Amino acid sequence: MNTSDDSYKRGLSLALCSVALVAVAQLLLKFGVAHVPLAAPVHDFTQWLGSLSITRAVMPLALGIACYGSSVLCWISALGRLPLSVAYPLLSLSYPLVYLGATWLPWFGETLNTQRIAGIALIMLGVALLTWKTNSSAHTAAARTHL
Amino acid sequence: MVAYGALLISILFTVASQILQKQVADSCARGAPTSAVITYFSQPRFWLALLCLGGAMLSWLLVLSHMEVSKAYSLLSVNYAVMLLVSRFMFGESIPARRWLGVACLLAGIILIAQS
Repeated sequence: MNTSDDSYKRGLSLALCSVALVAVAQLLLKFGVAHVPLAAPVHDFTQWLGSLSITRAVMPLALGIACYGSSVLCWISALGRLPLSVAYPLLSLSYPLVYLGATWLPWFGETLNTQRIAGIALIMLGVALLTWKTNSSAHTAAARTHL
Repeated sequence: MVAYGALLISILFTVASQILQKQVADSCARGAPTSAVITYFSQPRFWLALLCLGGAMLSWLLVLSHMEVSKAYSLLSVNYAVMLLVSRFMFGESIPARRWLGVACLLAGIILIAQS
């Protein structure tokens, strides 16, 4: 009994880790892609690649993809320890996390507005309704539906 | 418009990858569990699913370069609605009323965010 309790707690922290990692991944990808000169004409691809800033574009993008990969690994280990009806609603916490990061961190300059907050609340409610106490048939470990 | 086009492509790639992953998982479900990983790797659909995920990531980067991340990431949740339709009509799963209500809430939220 004690061990299953520990396993549940470990599952919870893994799922929360996964949610935090996916939010960090999105912010890193946004930061990195904002420093890729997409509008610049590409005459010579290798030269264009060489012109990318290592610290502002390449490393954030690589780190973002690595965070995303780690998030999926955390997620898979969390699913083994948690009921899906607990794990999937937790995933919807990533929406407000990304929003708070993009508005509060100094590098993004995105603004809070009530319409967007209401939209995110509706999305979270929708995800909770969709995933609460589901049968396992509808959600396999692979069925996390997006990035 | 570029952002919404790229978002659509990213969602299509993700959904394609999900369908392929589900098919791989279903085909392995009856196999011996010890060799499950090897049976994944031996299926072309598994690699196709990975390729689709790569395509989804590239088009997602294009979305992010044209749209605020707080808006784009929220819009990505339209995937839940698409996957519900896929599980109903492609995999023949029964969908309880509560889930349709969930999709309605989700779509209302997405419309609010798209217009913000």
